[in-house]
Amino acid sequence: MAWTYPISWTKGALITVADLNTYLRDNMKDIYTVIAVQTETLLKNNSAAFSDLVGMSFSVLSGEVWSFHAWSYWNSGTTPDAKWTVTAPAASTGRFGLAGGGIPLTAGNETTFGNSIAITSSGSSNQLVNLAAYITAGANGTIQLQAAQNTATAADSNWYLNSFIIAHRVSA
Amino acid sequence: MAKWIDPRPWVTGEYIHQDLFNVALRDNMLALRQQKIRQTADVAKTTTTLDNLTGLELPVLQGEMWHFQTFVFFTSNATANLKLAFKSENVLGTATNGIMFGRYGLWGSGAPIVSGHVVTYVASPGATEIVAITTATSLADMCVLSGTVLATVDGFIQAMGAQSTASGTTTFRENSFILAWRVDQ
Repeated sequence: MAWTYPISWTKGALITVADLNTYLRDNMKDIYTVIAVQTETLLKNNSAAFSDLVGMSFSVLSGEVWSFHAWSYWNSGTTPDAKWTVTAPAASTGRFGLAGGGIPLTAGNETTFGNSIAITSSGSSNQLVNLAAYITAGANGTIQLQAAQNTATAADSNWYLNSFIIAHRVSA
Repeated sequence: MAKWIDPRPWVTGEYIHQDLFNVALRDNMLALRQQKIRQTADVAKTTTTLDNLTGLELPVLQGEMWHFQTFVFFTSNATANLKLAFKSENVLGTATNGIMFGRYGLWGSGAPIVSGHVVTYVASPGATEIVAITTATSLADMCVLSGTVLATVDGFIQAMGAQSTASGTTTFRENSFILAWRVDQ
């Protein structure tokens, strides 16, 4: 599967199976994009255990290569800060990371899916981070974003609904 | 020819005219086109001299305009910080001035050094064609280069990186990547 510049169709030309497979099927597979939205707010209080950001996920097949960028709206105090991770099917490879207004804690990018990437919080203001990843799926399954407090603290931290993820299939 | 037009319904018994295919398939497929490009190896830097980030090269054909975002995974330190740039190349891969136009900028966990965005693509980026950012930590981090580019001839823009101040080692990681989308023209 790879992109091929579409031909210009001409009068009287036979529309072949190969043409449709190359310029329609393969190109549509190449531009396949998943856009998913977080459907409920995640509330964490005194918990550093990861939970799913519900809806921030997409399905993959073994061997597929995907890239995504995601925008996560959140609010947390300066003691709990915040952390995210990306879970992926077993044996998946690649790298994921985040950029935002804070400074990385422990790591701002990772190659082991399920490990945390964390960032300092500026305080009680609503904040935004951008997560990104390049992944080769090791098995059929789901790419899922998760979040938690970086330090368990008896205060509310929120990851808000309507955060979103845009995933592009690189190859199938 | 990258202007999206909502496809019209196909009608039973209709003659499939070439113009319908060219508008509904060719042109719309061009308008929807994306590029997804991966850095294929780590690039370690101990100097302020820009080097290519291997594989992070966006092809652009004459007359095309693209919007792109480049997600750069890196490790640096608070002295070295980080700088990035794009150089313009012709279709043979030769660095060339005056063929790519637009603007690109950088954001991440740090503050801009010298400049956070620049307005041109040149063959050999100098002080006014780089974007740089502070890094407050030696931990792994990520930053984002966003921009637009319009090509007057077929060619490429190649991402480059270096330390802002020579100190220790700054590594630009494999699997950093560019996502690019055609601008509706």
